[in-house]
Amino acid sequence: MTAGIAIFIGALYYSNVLTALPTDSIEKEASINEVTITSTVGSKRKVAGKGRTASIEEHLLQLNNVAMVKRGAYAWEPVVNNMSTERLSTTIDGMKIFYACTDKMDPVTSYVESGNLQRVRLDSGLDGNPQATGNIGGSIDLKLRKSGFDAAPQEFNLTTGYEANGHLQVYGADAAFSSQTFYANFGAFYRDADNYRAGGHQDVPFSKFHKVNSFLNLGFRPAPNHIVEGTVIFDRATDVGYPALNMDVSDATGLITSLSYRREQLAGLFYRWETKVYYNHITHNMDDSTRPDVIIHMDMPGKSSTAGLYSLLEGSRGNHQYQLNFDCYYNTLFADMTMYVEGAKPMYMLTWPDVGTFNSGLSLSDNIRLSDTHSIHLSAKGSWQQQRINSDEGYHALEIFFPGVERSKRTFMGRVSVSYAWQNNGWRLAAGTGYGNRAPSVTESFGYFLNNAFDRYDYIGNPHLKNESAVELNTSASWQNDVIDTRLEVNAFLFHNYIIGTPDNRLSAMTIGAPGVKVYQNLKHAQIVNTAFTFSVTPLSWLRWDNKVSYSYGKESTGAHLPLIAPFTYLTALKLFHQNWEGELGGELVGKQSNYSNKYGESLTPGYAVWHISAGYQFNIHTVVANIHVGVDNLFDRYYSTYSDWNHIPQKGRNIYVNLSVKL
Amino acid sequence: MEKRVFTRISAIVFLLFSGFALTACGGSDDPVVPINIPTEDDECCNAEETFLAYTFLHNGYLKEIESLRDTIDEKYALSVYSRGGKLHAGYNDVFFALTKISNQGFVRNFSVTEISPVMTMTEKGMKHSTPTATESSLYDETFPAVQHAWISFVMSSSSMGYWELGYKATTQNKTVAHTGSVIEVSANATGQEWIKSFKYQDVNYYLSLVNPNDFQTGINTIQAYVSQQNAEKAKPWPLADQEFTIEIIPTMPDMGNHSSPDNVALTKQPSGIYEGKLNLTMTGLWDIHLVVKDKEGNIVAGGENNDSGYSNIYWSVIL
Repeated sequence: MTAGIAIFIGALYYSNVLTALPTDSIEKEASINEVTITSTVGSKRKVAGKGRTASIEEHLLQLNNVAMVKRGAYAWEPVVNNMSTERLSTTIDGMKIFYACTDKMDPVTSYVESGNLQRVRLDSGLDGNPQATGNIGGSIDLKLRKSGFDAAPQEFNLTTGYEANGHLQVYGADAAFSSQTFYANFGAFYRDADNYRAGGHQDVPFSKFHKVNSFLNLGFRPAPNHIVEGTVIFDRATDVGYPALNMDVSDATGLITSLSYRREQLAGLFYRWETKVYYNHITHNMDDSTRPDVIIHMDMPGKSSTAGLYSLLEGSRGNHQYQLNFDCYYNTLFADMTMYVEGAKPMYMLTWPDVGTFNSGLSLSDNIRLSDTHSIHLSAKGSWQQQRINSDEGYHALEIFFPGVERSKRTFMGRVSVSYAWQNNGWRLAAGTGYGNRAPSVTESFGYFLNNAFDRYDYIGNPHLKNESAVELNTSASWQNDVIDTRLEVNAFLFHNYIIGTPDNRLSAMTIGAPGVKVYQNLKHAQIVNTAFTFSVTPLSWLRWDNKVSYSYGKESTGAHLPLIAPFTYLTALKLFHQNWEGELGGELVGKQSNYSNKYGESLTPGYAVWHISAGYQFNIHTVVANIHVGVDNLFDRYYSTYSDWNHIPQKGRNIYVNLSVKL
Repeated sequence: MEKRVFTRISAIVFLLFSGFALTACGGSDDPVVPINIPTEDDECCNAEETFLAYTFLHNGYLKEIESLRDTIDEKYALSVYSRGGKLHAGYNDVFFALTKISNQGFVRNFSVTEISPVMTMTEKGMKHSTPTATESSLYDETFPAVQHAWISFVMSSSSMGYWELGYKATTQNKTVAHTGSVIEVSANATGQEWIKSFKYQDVNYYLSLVNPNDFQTGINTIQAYVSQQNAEKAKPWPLADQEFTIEIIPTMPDMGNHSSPDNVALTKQPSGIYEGKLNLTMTGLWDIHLVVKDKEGNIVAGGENNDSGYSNIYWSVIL
């Protein structure tokens, strides 16, 4: 995979020392059994301080180009290349899944647990994974951890962790059984946290959460090269606090299921063929009953269900390595809101008018190795989508704002990307470009009086929106030898018909205290530019110093800055490795967000510096492998919030953690 | 209200299949009443018209107000219907049907005139009427057996006073004058107000909102009548001579006076009713603030705002 399009694969699990590393080969990528990542990969090993007790979001943050929008301690929203959910594709083992909360309190990454996953694949920009649609900023595929055939006949893992700040407790247990024709692995995770404290011992109310997760993977190989696999994940979070919002969540429940059939070692054009059918269902209930001073109590439930299939062919011939994928899915999103006023009839509206989305697409990708030094990567996808408002009441409500609007919308979306890389003698130069578009999300097309706690406006979707399109340009240069590894990368996204909410002064806000109503509109142009420079030096075999500087810029056609664009950031970490010991001392130095977007409700976020320290030790007693990690985040108990913390909610103050995982 | 429960075609089909021997059910609490299909009779409706009239009057929404029943020449029985057999403050639809006593057939041609609701204020010892249609008209071309009128009560019955309703019914040159029988007029549900008044050039005008219970989330056709007080207060109050424009701004008092865009002012239609467009973004309590203007665009009422920042004349409806 070419550097310019940067596929980073984070190893999240199943390793002696947990690591995250970039991997370069699609051959490796293609076979699930081969992606058992071990502790040492050259000198590139990287410490993940919290190990397997880290949340998915904490793992994701180790990937390049990733940031998180935080509305509390739980369910952070991934941002890639300074673009969030609408411009990303998130899939679980290629399965489409859509969040059920109109306020984005439940990014789909919150419905899985680190223990469910083997790794995360992130494709930056328009070069998405085969199942990705609408990915302008990037695509995330969460790869489930399956024990696979012919693995250890049995294996048991126990994990426990404790964080002092917020009394976060993590307990996990799983078991795996494997034979030549059958495998099964299953387990359960439990997380429980009280309110955390920001720097300076300030309690952050409504920041607790509880979560249980259980999973089961089954594999059956009735004949060589014929593989049937099934997955069930059940995930339920309860009493989740969102300090940045006016409401909490009483429960968020996800059920994720899939069944797949795979042929391996095929002769001819393709060597592998996998077909998967899947279904997932999410219910999400917001709750404001524990909040004080609520003028009007509200019930805001949401439901999302998705059924789909994909069929992926992979092959190679000569210097080509290619994939062909067909996928389709049908998703329904329903959300409503009931507001209770004492002594009066409750008020009711549909906030997502039971929108059905059918999408069907075909994707192609090809890696061409022209020579040892030159390679080209191509990928393309086209998909057709139809959406329909299934609720009469929701349709009639939307008609007020868009008289005569059609109930159904059809659109065609596509993306193409091409990149070229040259590598020789430690040097690697890459450049790529792409063009693609995305259909507006259900919120952007049909959302109805969705209050955004960030700018406090009520938002109304616009069924007349055009697709948003973007041209991506990226380039990178890197050089490495045994001691130094350095890399400079730049990517730019030039948008046309950029979708964003703009105030409509004719309209009157529904939420008490909201300054007005915004309607999603297409802006003529917008640009996002991201640059990053990394410099790693390994002067001694037991010492490495990692540095990363990044800067981003976002602007739209009226000249205003785009919201949620990362300020100047410098990350540094000193890492030590000695026998079974590892240690890290690091810091995050972030500049003032001077290019904040006043127009879109942002206010200035001051700069800050936070430091962390951690140590890990691995010991083996007979066949038992145990890992223990201790560390301190925010060493100096700094009170701060990042540019992407919703409503400037403060981040955790000093946090001492310890965790232990044991493999039997 | 369902204007027609069945279409003409489905009615015919139904009749064919049921071989003209029907037993139809009305509302859930109505007893089962057999429809009487008359033999050939010029005065009476044919089978299809009878079926449509019957299904309309027994559609579950309407019930007879039995105290208003009367007979003409001992040959015809007149029944008066309203929604649920009840009357309330503000606008009420009233329906009339005449049956021939000898064969129970619905009579085709009849009229109801001089509809006169009168309130007697017991303590003050005075009487007054209220905005009303004084004559009935055909409700629907497809079934000539049902006549329609409306009455908009300015107040409910109470210990302060009682309402009586009189009318005159005529068919085949025979007439009955039904003298006022006492009727019960209930108050609007708490928080709702469907009739409003204003004074302009020494005349009291009344704005009667038509059937707000039919409003739904979305774009609604809003209808109203503008009536004026009769110089003789106890005589029925007719439609206003003046023509106005009624501008509307709906707001939700419980939601910080949230409003909706693109509402269309009510203007007078050839039939005499005022009609406009009302946009309601959700269910709940809505205040429909009114600004009444004359033909030249001068504000004649609703020019002053109350605490909400909108006109102090408003209908209140709950949906």
